[in-house]
Amino acid sequence: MAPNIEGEAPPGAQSAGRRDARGLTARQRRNVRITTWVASLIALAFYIGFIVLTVSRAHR
Amino acid sequence: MAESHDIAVHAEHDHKPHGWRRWVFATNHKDIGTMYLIAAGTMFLIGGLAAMAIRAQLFKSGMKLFDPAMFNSLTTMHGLIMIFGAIMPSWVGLANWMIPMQIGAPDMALPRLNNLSFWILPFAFTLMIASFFVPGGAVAGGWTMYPPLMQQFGDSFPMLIFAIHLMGISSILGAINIVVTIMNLRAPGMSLLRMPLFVWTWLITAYLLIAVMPVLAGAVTMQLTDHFFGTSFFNAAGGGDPVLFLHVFWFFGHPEVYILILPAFGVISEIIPTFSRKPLFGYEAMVYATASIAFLSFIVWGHHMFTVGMPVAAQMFFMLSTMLIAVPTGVKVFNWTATMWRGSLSFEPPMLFAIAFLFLFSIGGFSGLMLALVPSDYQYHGTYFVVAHFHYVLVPGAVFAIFGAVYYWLPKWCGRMYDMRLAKWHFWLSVIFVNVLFFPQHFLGLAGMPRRIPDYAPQFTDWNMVSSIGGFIFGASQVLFPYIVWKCVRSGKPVEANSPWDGAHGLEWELPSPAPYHSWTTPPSAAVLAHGAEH
Repeated sequence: MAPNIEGEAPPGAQSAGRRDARGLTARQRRNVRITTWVASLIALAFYIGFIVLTVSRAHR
Repeated sequence: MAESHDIAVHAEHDHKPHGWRRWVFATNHKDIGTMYLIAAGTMFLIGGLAAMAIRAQLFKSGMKLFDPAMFNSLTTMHGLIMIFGAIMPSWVGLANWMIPMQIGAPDMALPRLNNLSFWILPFAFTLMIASFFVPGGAVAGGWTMYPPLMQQFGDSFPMLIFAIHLMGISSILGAINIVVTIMNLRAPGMSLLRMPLFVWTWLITAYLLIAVMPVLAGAVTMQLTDHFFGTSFFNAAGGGDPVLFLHVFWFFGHPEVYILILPAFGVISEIIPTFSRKPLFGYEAMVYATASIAFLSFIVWGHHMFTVGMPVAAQMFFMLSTMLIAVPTGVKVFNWTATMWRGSLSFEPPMLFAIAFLFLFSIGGFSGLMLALVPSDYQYHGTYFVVAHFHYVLVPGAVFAIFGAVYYWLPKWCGRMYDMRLAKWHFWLSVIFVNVLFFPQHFLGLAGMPRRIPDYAPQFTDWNMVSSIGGFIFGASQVLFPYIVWKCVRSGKPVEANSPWDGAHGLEWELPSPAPYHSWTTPPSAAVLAHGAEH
């Protein structure tokens, strides 16, 4: 963990370690992938969910 | 000092592509931010020209500048262009420029996706504006696109829906990028509750975008299939229900209002402490208030459709939940005021726009409370009172905050100071004539003038003339803004210190001016972070 003003790196913050050309650590790259998937799936769920909801309400 | 030296060294070794490749294949957050801001400015100009045409037609009773269908196209496209083409891309442009610099990240987490998010937009804008030139003209059913009226337009109908899909995809991709960047690329030591307010408000805005833009996409997709593929989502003849569209649309539409205004809250929370030379009063309360507003925005959509015919219990629920939003919003207004209280205030252009925001956004908020009351709303619904309300929220609210943000951060972007005198002229002309433009519209609405009409009864003429004159001068005075920015970038006086504002704090002010092409290539150290927080 990189030192900071409180003495520890909080979750989600950049940590020390080997960095790639973009300055990201392996842990950051993994977390970027996970967060991207989760955010994308939330968007997809709202898209499909609202169409399904409308179908169920429109044809009662 | 060591860190400042490192930053300066990086500045000397900026490797940037040249020519058209720099922009077409851009992955640098600053370049993409600049492109967003230029695109948004262009759309402001086009949407503004539509507004001028609307005010010219409404200058007096009996004017015949445009036929009614064209007038309705102008109001519809003005709304769509300003919301999706001007204000939203402005905020994404500012987010691109500032979020990586403010959290100590080298760039956005997904730079190629960032390029795609931007480059979708010019195609979407072109498609939307081109719909003016197809047979039958642009859609004219209002920006809310209610069926069955929306179904009656010609080729412009699918063009608009495709444009909205493109803009929605761009917004969702941009929002995902912002969430991923903020959650994963913060500097060591920057916990969530140490983030600048602009970053916080954008994080919450990005979640709103991820949740509601797909809902809009779903709603317009269903309209498209109703029109072209024989479905009956909103077609009563086939067993569907047009009112369902209103529910789905406003489930998107109300959070959309906060998508337009929450980043403005963030900007104001940056500017007021700087020019009051005091820390922001109640930082954590501001964060929780922003989150509360975002949560409440999901459960108030019914207040846009009280008159559609809904059970009294539903009306009560939507009325009370809407009025509840005044609590966290009041927390914000009081905290900004408390920040200024006994501060060492100075009145540079960003602060002037922030103070105007405080007063004029509050007027929009109060008229919003009036509209939240079911019995009152039955009187005000569909009148110019509503037009006055949302223009107070969006023009001296969101647009003034965008001006304030550009005047605040422009010296950091280009390393030069703009012409203060001209910027103050821009402010005073804007703040005076925005009120001449929109305040009389309250009177017109209360007197019963309906919105979305190309002509009106003669008794409404006087205040319409005042409003139009205000509109013409307000519109003309906005030409100053691109001139001030252009003059600053070309020949502004160089800013030598990292920050031209002595009260500014935050990581962006730890970088040299102009900000190097690649900033925070190594995360800022604890010392830099602490210095930025104090500064």
